[in-house]
Amino acid sequence: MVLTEEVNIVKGYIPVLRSQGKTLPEAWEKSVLMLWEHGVEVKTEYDKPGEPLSKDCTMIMEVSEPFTEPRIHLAFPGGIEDLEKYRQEVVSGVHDHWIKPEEGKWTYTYHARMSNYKVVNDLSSSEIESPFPPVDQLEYIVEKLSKSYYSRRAQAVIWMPTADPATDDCPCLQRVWCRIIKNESEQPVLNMNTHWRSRDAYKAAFMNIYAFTELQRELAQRIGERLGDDVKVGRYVDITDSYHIYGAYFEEFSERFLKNVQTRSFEERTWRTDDPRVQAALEYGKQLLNQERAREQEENK
Amino acid sequence: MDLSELSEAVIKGDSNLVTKLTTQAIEEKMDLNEIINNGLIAGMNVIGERFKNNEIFIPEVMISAHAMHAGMELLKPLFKASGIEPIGTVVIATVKGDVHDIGKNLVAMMFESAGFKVIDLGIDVDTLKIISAVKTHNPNILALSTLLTTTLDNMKNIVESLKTEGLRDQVLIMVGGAAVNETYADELGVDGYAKDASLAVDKAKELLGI
Repeated sequence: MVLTEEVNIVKGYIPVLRSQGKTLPEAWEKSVLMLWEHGVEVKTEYDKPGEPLSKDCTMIMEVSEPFTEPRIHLAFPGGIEDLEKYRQEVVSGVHDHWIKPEEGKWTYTYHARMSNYKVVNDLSSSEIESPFPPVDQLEYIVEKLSKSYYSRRAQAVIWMPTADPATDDCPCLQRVWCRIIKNESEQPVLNMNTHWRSRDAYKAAFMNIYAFTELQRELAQRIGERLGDDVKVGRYVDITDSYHIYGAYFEEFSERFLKNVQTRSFEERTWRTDDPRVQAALEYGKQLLNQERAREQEENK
Repeated sequence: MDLSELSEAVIKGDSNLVTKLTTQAIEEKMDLNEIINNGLIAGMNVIGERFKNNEIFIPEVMISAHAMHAGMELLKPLFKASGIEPIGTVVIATVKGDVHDIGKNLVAMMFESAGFKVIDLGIDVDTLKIISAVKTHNPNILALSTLLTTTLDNMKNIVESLKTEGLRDQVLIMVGGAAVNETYADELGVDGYAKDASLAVDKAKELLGI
């Protein structure tokens, strides 16, 4: 299957691939197929002895209509309820309280970095104080674009150069950038770009783009409320420096993913979010989060 | 009622239809074992086989498992009166320091679908809670999961604590998760390792001689 017009592979160069699609599953599926076909073979720090080299590229993925159905590709490692849990983790910060490196838990969440960015030089404990007040970068984006919708400065950074390089698990996402452009009807349209340092294309990227387009929708809604106008969700662009498929997954990737692409229609390997089964599973995800909250409250008593 | 309709509803992952058909089967006083084996589990067996053959994806397994679960919930209160017993008991947990639950949930679903009673202790579970669950529930299998290399030592602590408590020989231990492999499982001295959810139940049955 040839997905790009021509990819010039030069030894020593990381291929730069571009995937375009109307919907999330279309753009994501094309991106992994292009990576599989044209990616360069590289070693990673996580390879176990005997595993094949990973496939890698720099990927630019463009989704022109992120909320057109179908929104769900079935090749992600979880249930639909996990998509809902991850959506709430990114958009609402339901797992920000898991930032507890002193207990061996997380050093950051994307939501906490975006909405409560605190500069520290040590991430070994969540109790370490920042010399600066925290920054709500999402509020900044909303405020900036509400006042100057055409601004080029509406962005949230994730990376913390004072502390992240020293940690075992540093953030893949680096930056979220937003800008509004008016369409032919003079309606404001929120365009969003996300920039990623590194990403597991096969097992992580789909859940990421699902959740970050939900964040795009949330920001559009908040800006719209400030402007007293209906802000449309525009195109979503996702740029990854190292977009990869680990050698450890090659067997599963070829035997499951490629097999399904070859034997089932696009409609069969994707689901609409308005499918009653999907709606029920998304609702179940909400229930699971409520149960998790209740259990944690009980344990903390 | 034709129980193939029920298994088809499980295959489609249609929880509402499974609830409706299971209720109907109960009202028609069908044999509970038949409802389970020829309806709910028959449907899940098809899904399990398709997954093992790489024909479908994980969300499709999960949605069918939820549908089967919806039917099982209606049947559970009737089990005792009918003398139906699970084929085994599994205590499952993601170890302390790790809050990942997707893989663990999938394995739990697979066990339940195969007729095991599953006690899911959740994520970030400390050793004492796991030891306590082994004492309380006397499971056939203790299934431990971790995605992180940083929490691998906690698996080791659990195995050591079971030995200290004199419980090691009472339970079969299985491990899994992205941080674990066959070599590490051997080093830990556990009874089984499964590289993915579809193989976990097969391994458990093999260990139990079922």
